[in-house]
Amino acid sequence: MAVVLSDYAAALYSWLKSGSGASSIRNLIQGGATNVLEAGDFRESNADTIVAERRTAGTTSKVLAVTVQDAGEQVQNGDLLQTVVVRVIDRDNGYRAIRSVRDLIRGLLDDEELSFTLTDVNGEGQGALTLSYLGRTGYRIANDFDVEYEALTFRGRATQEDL
Amino acid sequence: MATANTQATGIGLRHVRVALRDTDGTIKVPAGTSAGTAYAGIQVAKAKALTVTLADPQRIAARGDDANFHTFNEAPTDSPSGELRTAVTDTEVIALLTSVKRYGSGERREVMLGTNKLGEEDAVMMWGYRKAIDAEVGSATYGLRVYQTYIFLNCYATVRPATMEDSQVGETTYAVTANNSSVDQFGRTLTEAIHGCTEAPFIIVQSRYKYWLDAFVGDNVETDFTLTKTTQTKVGVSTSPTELWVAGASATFTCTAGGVLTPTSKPTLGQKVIVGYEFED
Repeated sequence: MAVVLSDYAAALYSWLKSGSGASSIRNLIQGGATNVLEAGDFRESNADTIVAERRTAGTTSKVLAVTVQDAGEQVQNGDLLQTVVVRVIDRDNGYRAIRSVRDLIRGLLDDEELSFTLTDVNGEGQGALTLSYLGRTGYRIANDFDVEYEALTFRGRATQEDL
Repeated sequence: MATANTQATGIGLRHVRVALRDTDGTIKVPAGTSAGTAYAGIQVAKAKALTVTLADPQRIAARGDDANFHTFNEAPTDSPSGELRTAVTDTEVIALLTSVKRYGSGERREVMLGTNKLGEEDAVMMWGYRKAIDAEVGSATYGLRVYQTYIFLNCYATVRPATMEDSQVGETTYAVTANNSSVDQFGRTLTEAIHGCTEAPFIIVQSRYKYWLDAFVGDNVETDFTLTKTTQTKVGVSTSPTELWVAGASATFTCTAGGVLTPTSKPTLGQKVIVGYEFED
């Protein structure tokens, strides 16, 4: 039975955190599912802690965390377009670990993989139509958190019974 | 009261298959295929679009006193048509659709196009499915993922090979000419009572899970028929019944969870066995 979720951001977060198809991605994240986070839950303090754990464990090929950001929703032709940004975050490790995780997310995440049902909104049914990959930022530096990252953008199209 | 799969909104194109059409109007199983082995046509990989254009009716206006006072809607003068576009040049599909042979040495594959076989192509069946959602307002299952399948029952397809162009991914296009069939995908004769018509070129199927057709040929010996989708087959699911048709007649059967179907009566030598069912990956 498909899991019931509120939107595409919740679906991607759920898949990355506990989906069986994403296990190889979690294997490349320090702490595995523990460090699959929603965007607002990642702070510089997280990065400091995870870096220390990684140093102790000696797992330099793993990234610090993967975050999922709900980047908003638009209405187009009666459908809902939901934007989700997935960030792969690392520090002082160049781009190689980020690249590996990025490739896995791109390769594994597709419409077949992300099987879920959208919950009702105020009694109105929703339907998940399709998920599309829109692109990625490439290697970026975030000075506020003192981390490096890459952001991948996805767009989900959904319908609502009565908008 | 809403009925499941009455209304659906589909998106994309997930999977397309094609098979030669047999004289009984069903999938033609290649010679030499053993009785218990399913044949489901061949996939037309990387399909991008499957469009259907049903022929427009003739609109004939009745005029008098300088005005139209009635417009008759009469049967069309054209046949329905369609187009299949793919991102792949598939020599096996081309050979099957154009009634030529695929040949070559080693890993080299060659196939002729625009041959003297033009106009002599074998009739084929073509079907494709896509993801959809239940879109019936007020339905308890609104938004539930379902699937839509289009089936051309009796068509010819001609190939337009992909263009070689700077910075372009070539598309192979198949132009489809659809003709009427007097039987459905199971070989069952179309009737007013069940289908509301006696001839049709095209069917829309809306189902809870992905729809699949398997064809077998009986040999009066084989009793177990293994479905292509084996353990993925939806068995005993009320939303998605499996249908068995032997020589165009509905037949009873048992089916294991592993997708091994056993007809109550063993199919005789040469009898066509068609199984329509749903599966989930």
